[in-house]
Amino acid sequence: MSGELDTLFEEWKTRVEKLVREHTLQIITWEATRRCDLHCVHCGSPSEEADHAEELSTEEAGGAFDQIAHDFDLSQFRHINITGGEPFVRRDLFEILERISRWPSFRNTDIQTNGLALAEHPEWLRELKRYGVTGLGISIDGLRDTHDVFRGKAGSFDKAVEAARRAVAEGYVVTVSAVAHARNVDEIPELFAQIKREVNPRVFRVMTLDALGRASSLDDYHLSPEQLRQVLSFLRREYQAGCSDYADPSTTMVELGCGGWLGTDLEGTVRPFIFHCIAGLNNLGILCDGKLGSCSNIPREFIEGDLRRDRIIEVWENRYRRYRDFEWKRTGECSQCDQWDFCHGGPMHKRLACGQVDHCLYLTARKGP
Amino acid sequence: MPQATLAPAERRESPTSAERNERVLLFKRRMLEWRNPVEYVNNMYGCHPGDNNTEYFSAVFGT
Repeated sequence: MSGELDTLFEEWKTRVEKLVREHTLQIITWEATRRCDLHCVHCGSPSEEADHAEELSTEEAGGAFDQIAHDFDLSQFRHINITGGEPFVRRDLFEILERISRWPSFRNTDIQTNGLALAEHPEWLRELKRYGVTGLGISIDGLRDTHDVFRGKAGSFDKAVEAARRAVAEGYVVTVSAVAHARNVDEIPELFAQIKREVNPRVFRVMTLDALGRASSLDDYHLSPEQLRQVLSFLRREYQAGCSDYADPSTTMVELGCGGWLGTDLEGTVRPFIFHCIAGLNNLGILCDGKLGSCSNIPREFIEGDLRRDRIIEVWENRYRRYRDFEWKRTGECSQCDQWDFCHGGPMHKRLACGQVDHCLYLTARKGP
Repeated sequence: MPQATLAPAERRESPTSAERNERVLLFKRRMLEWRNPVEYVNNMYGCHPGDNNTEYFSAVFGT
């Protein structure tokens, strides 16, 4: 790094440390359900891991947001991110959204979906706007044949593209997310070109496959170091070619999702931000059964409360030590890493209960093929 | 004469490449200077960072 960048990273780190100390709530991730109308090979939040009878009721879900609005300082609040499962299988989703939208602080609600329901009910796009939904994330994990095989349903690619296209036309901020793995990595550039041409979303996000849910047993799907470098090269090429136009909201940006820290050299050169995991710092995670964590992908070992039993703000203020004191993660590969001061152990969803990190991107990209 | 063929192309491309690298570094510096260090990460699923939903983009990637 140059001396100037060294200084800027130090100042950035100081602001991260301030953010940790203050831990003001800015984002809520709500896993609305684990139920889904698809059965994807690599799903990180599979339905079979959840007891659907334990899913929050309409009243419990709506009441949780009421409680947060009453108890928390929401002066810096940014947005609600609704995930699944597939959120649209909840028949009461619109009712809950309507209740949430009564609170002025809860602006910019986003929904992550496979797109099937929106393709079949395009009229919902207008209704969702009334409840403050401004962003839609639609998962597309390869070209048509690859995606449909992964989804286990023919026609799902076309429906996802159709839903994304309609959402863009309706004025939503649309993110198309693709999970990169060993069997689709060669398709990512062509998929990006097709999505950019046919959908023109605001963001084309690439996530690397994490060992979560069904993917935890898919060893041969994980990216090799060489394949990870291939993904990073693609992102770097596209980011550097297009970033001068990113102030224009009609431009499609590329980004690497929250899979991890890339090192001070690469951060800020392959995606439009510098990464730091926000789990438990300013992001509250509410799971489908009311358990309280820090995003929807955190291992259950890191659950710190239950909204059926606990006041949410009490959990947030007093029990999130593991999310805010990073030292316990300074073990294994992290203990000697020259990036520790900036990544603080990377994303929580890659942290195993034993304390070790799983598939660190920074270290993996530096390994042999 | 491979070198004679390559040299003009390199001359044409290198200013663009240099300018591009300079812009990437400029944007990186702006990201590092942004008041909320995780502004974009907060919004990466909805992509409307900044108090008015878009100011991060104009501040970081604007001319």
